[in-house]
Amino acid sequence: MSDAGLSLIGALLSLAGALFFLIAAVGLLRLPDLFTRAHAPTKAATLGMLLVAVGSVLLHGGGGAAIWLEKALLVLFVMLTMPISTQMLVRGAAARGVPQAPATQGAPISQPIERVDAIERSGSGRGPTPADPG
Amino acid sequence: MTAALYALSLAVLALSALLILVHAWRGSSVFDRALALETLSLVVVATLLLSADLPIDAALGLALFAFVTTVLLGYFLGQGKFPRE
Repeated sequence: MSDAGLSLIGALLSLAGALFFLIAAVGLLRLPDLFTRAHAPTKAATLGMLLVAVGSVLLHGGGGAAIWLEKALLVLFVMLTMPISTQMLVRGAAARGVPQAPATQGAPISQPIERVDAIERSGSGRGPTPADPG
Repeated sequence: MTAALYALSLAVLALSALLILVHAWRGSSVFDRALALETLSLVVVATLLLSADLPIDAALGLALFAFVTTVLLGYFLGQGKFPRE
């Protein structure tokens, strides 16, 4: 394929990745509570970062293996660390009792620590028990 | 065409950075502000990725700084306690 065609495809991929970042920003503004807001930038930003990296390599006309390696390293780092850091942040928020949206289903996680331990001991939580078949 | 698409993607990144800053300003809790600032630094990393000659040191350093900052904020703002530990 010609060089201009590759640049055009790269620009389109970059635009798609930038739109994923816009989805992350709109999700931060629109979703009802912290625990749903946390998932929007995590998913959208990792996929958007991948699209932007591939698109920028194609857009600026290759440049050899070093450019691919640098951008792949950066994308790999972001895709590894972004879920971990958001998980740590949300766990801290759950320990401090940040309120959940009223429509949340499942076991409560924003209770005080003793309450969650009591729920786990009494076995009335919704998590799978070891004797659960399947 | 290609240059216009490139400028449009930079403009979309700038718009999303602006929306994230609005959320960090309005934020309902300090965890919200931390999440918004982490997302903002990732938007800046994506903008650095789009530039013609990538400053790999700046981009990797910013991504690393966002990771460490968010993990430490989550740990210490949660007073070092996690619900299931």
